[in-house]
Amino acid sequence: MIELRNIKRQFGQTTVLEDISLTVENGSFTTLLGASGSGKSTTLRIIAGLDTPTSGSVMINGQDVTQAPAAARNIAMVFQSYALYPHMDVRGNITLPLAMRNMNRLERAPLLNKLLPSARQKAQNHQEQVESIARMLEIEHLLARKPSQLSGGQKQRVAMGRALVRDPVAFLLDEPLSNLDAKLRGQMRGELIDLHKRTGKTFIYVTHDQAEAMSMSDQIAIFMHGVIVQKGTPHDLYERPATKEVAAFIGDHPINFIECSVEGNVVRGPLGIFVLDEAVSCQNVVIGVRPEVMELSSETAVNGKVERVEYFGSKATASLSLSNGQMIQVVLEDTSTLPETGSACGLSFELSRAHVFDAQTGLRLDVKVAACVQDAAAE
Amino acid sequence: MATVTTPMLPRRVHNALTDLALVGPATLAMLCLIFVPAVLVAVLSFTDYQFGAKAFNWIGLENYVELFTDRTGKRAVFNTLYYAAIVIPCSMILSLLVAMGVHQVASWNKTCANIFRTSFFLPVAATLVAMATVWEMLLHPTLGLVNIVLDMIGIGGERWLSDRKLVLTTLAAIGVWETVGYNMVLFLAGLASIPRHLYEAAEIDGADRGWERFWTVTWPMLGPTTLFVMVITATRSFRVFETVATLTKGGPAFASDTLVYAMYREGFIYFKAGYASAITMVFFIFVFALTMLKVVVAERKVHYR
Amino acid sequence: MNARTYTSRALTVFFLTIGAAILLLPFFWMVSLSLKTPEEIFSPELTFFPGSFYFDNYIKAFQQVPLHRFLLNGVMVCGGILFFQMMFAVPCAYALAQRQFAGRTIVFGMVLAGLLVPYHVTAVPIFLGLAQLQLLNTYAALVLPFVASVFGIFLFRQFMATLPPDLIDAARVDGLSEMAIVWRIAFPAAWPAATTFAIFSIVAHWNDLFWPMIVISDADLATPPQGILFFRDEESGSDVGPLMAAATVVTTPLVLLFLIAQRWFIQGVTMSGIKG
Repeated sequence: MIELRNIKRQFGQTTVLEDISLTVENGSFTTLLGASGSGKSTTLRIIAGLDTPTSGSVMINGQDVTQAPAAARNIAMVFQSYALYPHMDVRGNITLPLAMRNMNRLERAPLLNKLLPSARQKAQNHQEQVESIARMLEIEHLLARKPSQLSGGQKQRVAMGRALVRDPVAFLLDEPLSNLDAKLRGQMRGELIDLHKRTGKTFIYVTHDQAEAMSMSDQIAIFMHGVIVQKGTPHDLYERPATKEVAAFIGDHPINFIECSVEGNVVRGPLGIFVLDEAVSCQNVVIGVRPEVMELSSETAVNGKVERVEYFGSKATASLSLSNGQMIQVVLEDTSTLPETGSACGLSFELSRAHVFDAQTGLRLDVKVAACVQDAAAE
Repeated sequence: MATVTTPMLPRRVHNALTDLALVGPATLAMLCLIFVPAVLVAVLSFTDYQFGAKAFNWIGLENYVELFTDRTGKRAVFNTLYYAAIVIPCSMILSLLVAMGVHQVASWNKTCANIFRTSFFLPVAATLVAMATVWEMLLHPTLGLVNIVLDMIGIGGERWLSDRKLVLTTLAAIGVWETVGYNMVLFLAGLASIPRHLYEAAEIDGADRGWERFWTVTWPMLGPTTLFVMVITATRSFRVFETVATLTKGGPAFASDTLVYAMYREGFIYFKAGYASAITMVFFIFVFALTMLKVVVAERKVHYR
Repeated sequence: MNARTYTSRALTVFFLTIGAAILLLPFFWMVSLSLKTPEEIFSPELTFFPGSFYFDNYIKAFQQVPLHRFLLNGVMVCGGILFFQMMFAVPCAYALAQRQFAGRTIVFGMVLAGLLVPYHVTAVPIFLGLAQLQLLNTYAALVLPFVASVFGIFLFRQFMATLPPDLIDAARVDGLSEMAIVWRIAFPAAWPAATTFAIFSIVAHWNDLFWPMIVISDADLATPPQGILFFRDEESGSDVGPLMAAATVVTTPLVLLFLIAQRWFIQGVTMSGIKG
């Protein structure tokens, strides 16, 4: 188990991390998700031991390792740039971490080690391990090549191999797929999931891509401006986003935010008048409705005009303008008949899946939309 | 299995010790072998210290006064400047011509250009002392190739290395021979960095003759390189020692005595450490001023790009 | 191709060939004299090529002075200097390029300042120090003064600064100590810089005459150029053939090294205007 306790990191006057606490269970796949500069990479470097927190502590399996350098923590890491040793061939790259962990100074010494039986035995073992990893990653035929002779995808696999070859406490992956093209990225994503299943190891994954995070993780921690704004399962984050920002960050389609005024438990806005299951104390709320829980409906009153329809085959999206000019996106599951551009439409959504946020603070309000009393056009 | 080796020391202390282990030896060596001696030389130059002596006296600027009033001292300074005054322009003009030639050849035959480049650069790598003995043979008054050839075309040969009026010029000629290749490489790098399109633009503007192109494009664009080469050649000229030590030992009658050779003679043959230190300081100030000029030039060069 | 370009090319090649011939003349003459019999050398007739290959000069050169000894000294001294220069310079350059530490600017400032000081400047005090330590006339006297190569630190630092920080971090995660990173990752990755530096160092110290003349008087410890001087002074110009043979023997290793590693050497010259 890896635990971060109240980690704070400052570079000079700038605070990069503010009170980060996170628990990563053994064998889990945890993703640190956030835009660049949000502090996720610094957090990963602190876990790896490449950076030291200004205050707070890092615990690995109950032991405080805050002061331990990277070399003393048994952690493997895959870098965004792959960081393969340019002067070694693939075999050398994958063997090096084994040699550093398992051999003593004498056994590692060039030339001299050829004379030591123990070194020969270990080197033999290492070669077997390297080859079995290479077989697993399907890079056997590349073992004699130098990194400069490899494609991006192959470098990626070698970098994975270098991490996998030893038996680390955890694998840290820093945006490992971001330098690959889209098709290869999809394929590697699947392979990473398989790899995690097969090895049963702890994976800590850093990305700015919410789709990657949602599809692979057991646990996601969302970083914004140096703090973790929410952590939980992908399902939690999608269904119960803690803030407006989180709701906007998660999801394949950008969420629709509808500003409404509120009195007690009655909400008025461009989509109509709604009743909340509980009264709230603030004056304005924002209702977040994902395009995929909205639909065009002929039963409600007309309250939007179709401006644009995009067809993707399996689905389509429609952009509608409301009477106040706001644009709303709707995902159309049924693509057999598509609305005409310029036509007027009614809009409805699954009330229970709408999110209510305080307009001022952006925080989630723990209430549900209970009923629609009146739709907009009927006003 | 232990997951983590417990650190013995806090991270900061550990890091500081690592930095010390990495940087300490080199820093200590730099202090002991460069900076402390450089300060000591300055201090010694104000004393009459002699190697092996038990004591010394502070004599203020006397060593410097001697250097600039004594006939041999003045000669050494003058000779060094005279030598540099010949080597700098000759070596630069020749190396620029060679570099432009090689650059032009390179545009249509790379192999040929490489052969030329290697030939011109060879003297830089050769052992100067060995080559100086060869020059001694070539310049021998009766048996030397140079005089034999001059005889054949009807010009009387000279006593190149024993004529007081000629000896310094002869040494300077060898100096040019030695530095042309080095400067050529620097000029070649300068020429290679001139963008092609400037020549095309010049041609469109009507500068289609070789000389016109040289004055409108090559020369102005090579400006920074030229200054750079000049400073480097000057620095190297001020250090002239090997040829003097091998061929003339400063003679005849101090006609080819130079600063570094005088420093060697006064300091390590006559063991006048104080006086040798003063000569060293004069030499150092020359080189330092030049190197500062080079630094300024290099800065400007960076700004241009 | 028109006639004008053809003429200009021919002229360029013509003049370059003449220039190269003049520049290479001493090399040719050295080899030629070293293969001539004494009669040929002292005959008033001008002959460019030796009548026959007279290798006795080479045999004499090795018999009259311990030429093999000079060569061995040269190898020992150049090897020793290069080894210690690397030992000092590479870790320091790595720290300057890839680590943050208090005093980094000071150390780098020292390196830059050190580049301004030619080694002739420190000769008098270092000679005094070596005399104090009773090290005159030893290999140590030839090697010790040069172990702190600011040029080496500078060259390696410039190169190592271009290594991606991720590479160093990957090595740290893989369990390498900082010293191991220096020698297993940073140094091999900076191989071009190492080659350039090695050539510079070897050429400079093999050919140096100034310092050996100051600290070595014992002929057994003479470096190759010093050996040539001993030889010439002993024979006072009468034995030209063997002297030229010795000169050829001393010059050849560097000329060969230069021909093999020309690319790095020339690259080094271009990169290192800073050394002068």
